[in-house]
Amino acid sequence: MGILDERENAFLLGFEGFSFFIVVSLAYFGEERIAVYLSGLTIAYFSAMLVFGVKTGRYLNFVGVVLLVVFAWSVVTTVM
Amino acid sequence: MSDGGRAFLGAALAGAGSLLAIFSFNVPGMVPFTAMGVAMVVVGMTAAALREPKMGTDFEMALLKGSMLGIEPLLNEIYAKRSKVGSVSEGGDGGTPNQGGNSTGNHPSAIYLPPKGEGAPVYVPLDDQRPLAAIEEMGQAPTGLLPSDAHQRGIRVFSAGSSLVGVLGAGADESSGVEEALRRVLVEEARLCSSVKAVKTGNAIVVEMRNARAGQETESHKMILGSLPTSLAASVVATVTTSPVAIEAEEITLKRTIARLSFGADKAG
Repeated sequence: MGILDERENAFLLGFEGFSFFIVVSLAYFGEERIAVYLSGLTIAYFSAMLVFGVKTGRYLNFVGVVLLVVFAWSVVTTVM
Repeated sequence: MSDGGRAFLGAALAGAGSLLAIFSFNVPGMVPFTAMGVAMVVVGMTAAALREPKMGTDFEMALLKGSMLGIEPLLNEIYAKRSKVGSVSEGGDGGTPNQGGNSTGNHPSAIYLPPKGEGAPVYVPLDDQRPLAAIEEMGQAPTGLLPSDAHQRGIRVFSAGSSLVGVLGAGADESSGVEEALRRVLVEEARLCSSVKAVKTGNAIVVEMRNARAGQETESHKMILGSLPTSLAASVVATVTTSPVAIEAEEITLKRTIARLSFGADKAG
């Protein structure tokens, strides 16, 4: 399998495919709210991390933190 | 993919994604493109932030090599004895290179014992008698060579991976996975290879290590205990499965090292 032997590469490819699928699917159904897309991406990110079991950074996952903040913001603005 | 390459590609993808997101955000009806740009930024930043599976530094290698130095004179002596016997009985050279653990004359391979007390020792048979000693006997074998008239069957040595039980946890459970433990020790901590895979077939595990740093050990270590990555892998498997493990075969090439480790080695005879 070459490049996919490293778990990190498999994770990146999986997450990329998952993100693409989510964006295309939501666009197909005519979704126009960016918050919905961002929520989907956040779920895809953490799901892929769990599935492939990768670690980013030794102490803190900065990308994950940013995505969580954006996700929380989009939920709050939607509810309020 | 090299780590620098991954970080560069990640940064490039994040840059392109942010341009796409900023551009399409200001154009009505382009929300999917904005989302695609954001996805590219996330993928790119993740690629750049992923932990780099770097190979071990010279410092780490020096520490590992240092851990082998203590048993080296003992292994040299055993290897010399075996080669002598092998050359008399077979007229051979005591084994071929790149095959560890079981290739010195007619001697059974070394057996990595499960941890007990001070660590997980390796039992090295000194005679070519089969069946092998019982596991309890192996665990109580002397740790030094006795005088030649003492009829010593085997010797217990402590390899570089003997104290892994302290890291993996006492009686490390098999449910967490042999491959996960191998990956943790060999890839993430010792950084002796870039990736590792383990496949269980019957009473054996085939371990494939990519870009393993072999060649750090002496000839006697390679012949008796296997190469350093394989020796560590055998220690991990013995610790996780709490079963005696022997290196049946080891194949070392430039890109990958494949080792076949068998369980229940005390009964294999």
